[in-house]
Amino acid sequence: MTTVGESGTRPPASRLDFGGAGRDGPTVTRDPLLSVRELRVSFGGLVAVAGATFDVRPGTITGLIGPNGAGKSTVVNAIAGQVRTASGRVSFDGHELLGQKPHAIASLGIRRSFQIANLFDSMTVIENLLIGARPWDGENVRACFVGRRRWRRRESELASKAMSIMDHFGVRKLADEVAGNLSGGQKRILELMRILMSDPKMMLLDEPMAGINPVLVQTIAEHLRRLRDEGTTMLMIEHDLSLIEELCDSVIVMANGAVIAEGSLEVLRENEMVVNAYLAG
Amino acid sequence: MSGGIEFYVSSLTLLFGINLIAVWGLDLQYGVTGIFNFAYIIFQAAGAYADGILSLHPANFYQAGETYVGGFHLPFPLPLLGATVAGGLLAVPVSFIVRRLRGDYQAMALLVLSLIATAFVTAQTNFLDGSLGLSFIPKPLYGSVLPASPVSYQWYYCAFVAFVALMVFFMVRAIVTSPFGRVLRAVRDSETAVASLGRSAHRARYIIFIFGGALAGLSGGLFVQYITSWTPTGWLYPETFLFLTAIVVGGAANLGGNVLGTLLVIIGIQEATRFLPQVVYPGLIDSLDWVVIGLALLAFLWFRPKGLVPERRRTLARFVPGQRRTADDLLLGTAAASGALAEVPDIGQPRSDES
Repeated sequence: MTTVGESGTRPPASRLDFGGAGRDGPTVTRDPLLSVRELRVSFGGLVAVAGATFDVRPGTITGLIGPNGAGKSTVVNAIAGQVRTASGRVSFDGHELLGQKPHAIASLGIRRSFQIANLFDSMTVIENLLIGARPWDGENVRACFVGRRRWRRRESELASKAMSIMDHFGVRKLADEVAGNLSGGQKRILELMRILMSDPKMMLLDEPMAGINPVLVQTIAEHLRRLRDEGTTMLMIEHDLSLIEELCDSVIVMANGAVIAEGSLEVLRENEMVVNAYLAG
Repeated sequence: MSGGIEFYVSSLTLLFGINLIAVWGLDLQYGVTGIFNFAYIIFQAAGAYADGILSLHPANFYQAGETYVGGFHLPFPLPLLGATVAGGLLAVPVSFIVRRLRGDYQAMALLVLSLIATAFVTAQTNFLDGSLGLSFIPKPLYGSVLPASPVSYQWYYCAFVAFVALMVFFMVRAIVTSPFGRVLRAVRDSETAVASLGRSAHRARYIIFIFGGALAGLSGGLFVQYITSWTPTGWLYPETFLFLTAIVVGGAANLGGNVLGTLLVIIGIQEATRFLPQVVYPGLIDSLDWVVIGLALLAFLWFRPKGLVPERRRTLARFVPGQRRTADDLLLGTAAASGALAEVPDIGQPRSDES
């Protein structure tokens, strides 16, 4: 059913039969929100992504799995505009993303987390969250000098939103802590909370659960599922397959820079090629 | 006070005010935004030269063999405005040169640019009279509106510099305490994260590069009107490190720290050595200034990198009205006392329902 190319050639990604395991309802048939076509990224001689093609449908959590070095993070970086050498086509909600600046891509409503939490280390948690809000006119230079009262009001609204997010994850007491002093797990949570401040259309999550304690993983999973149900689309890199099974509506498997399979995890488990990729990777 | 002491005190006050403006400008770039502008002094020089050219007559007017471009003899305060604009304008091409560079590479490129600028101005004798520089730059309003007595004139100029410094203080503080200031600090911490949140780090840096350049130009203009001459030896690259040491010692990204740093490093260390006896050979003590300043920079980077007055931590209470009136609120009149902020619902209350 699927053929895999040798490294260097581009294997065609096959869409596996959902076999009734996929989510029913209108989301299955809707047009993809994010569509990646023939994405290639190379760093010097190293081909990190060799023609990846896949879709992410709106309102779903799509898992991106594969062995180390498969090119998963590079795909996320390329979608977010942080790789200059990417070629191919990446379209989101009718916009072509390749060639656009990272901040322009973010302003379309895409937020990402980083493989290693990328925070504003010298700033407090609350400040990190405030800057996670969508860009607003209070951040213009002009606002430094005029309309202070108006932006103060808006800022306290943002602060109350930040507080409710912190309450949700039980980290309100860290509000005044400097981000650089947080533990690894707390940093990840802060990064996720910072993303949530902007109510993004789509979230690109690069191993969001790494280093987080199991109880909190469930809280986060619960939150992500609710966001999904409210219409937020997610592409999530994750190594924990049980988590993938629990959260993801569909899964993309990458190996050697290419998408080798796509579908639900139950179906993929039966796929010899996927199993080999993981075992051999 | 006797005339001599009075002159000395007013001179120090002037130097303090002028340098403080420059230090605030550089701290906005280095401390707040994380731009390693090791060419900062060339922006001050641009302001000084611009002020000189705008206030002097054309070179042939004096019949003194000087050669420089322009000579517009504009009345005060136009040369000072010109100086500010010149500093800001110079920042445009310079920021273009370093836009792709970050951190160490940016610092290197700017340091080299500072060297090139000095060499260029020194070699181009037709441009700004080379190593001779501009001289007899008129003191503004001297002998016309203000008295021609050096000491009392100097106090008037002091008052003017103090006024300008106060204005600069309010502007810089308005920037660092605003949401834009938060973006600047975020750019300092992580450009990729700033971009991933939909803000253009490049734009923020560009604005601050120009704004800091303009402040350097302003301080250069004020300085040259005080010392009345300006040559390439007055703006060699180590001068930038003098400002930088003041920032590191006092405390980066803290306006009060900048005041303390300027006082200790630029006024203190430089002036204290003036009273030491000249030992071994004349000029040795003066040269030791730089050794002491270099050691202070190293010692602080090593043992107290946040400086004497560290950057303030911006806590939740700052953003929630009614919890605490900050000094900013009192000074800027934006306190919650007006009642305008009381409408915001549920502040400070943990939410039980999930929304």
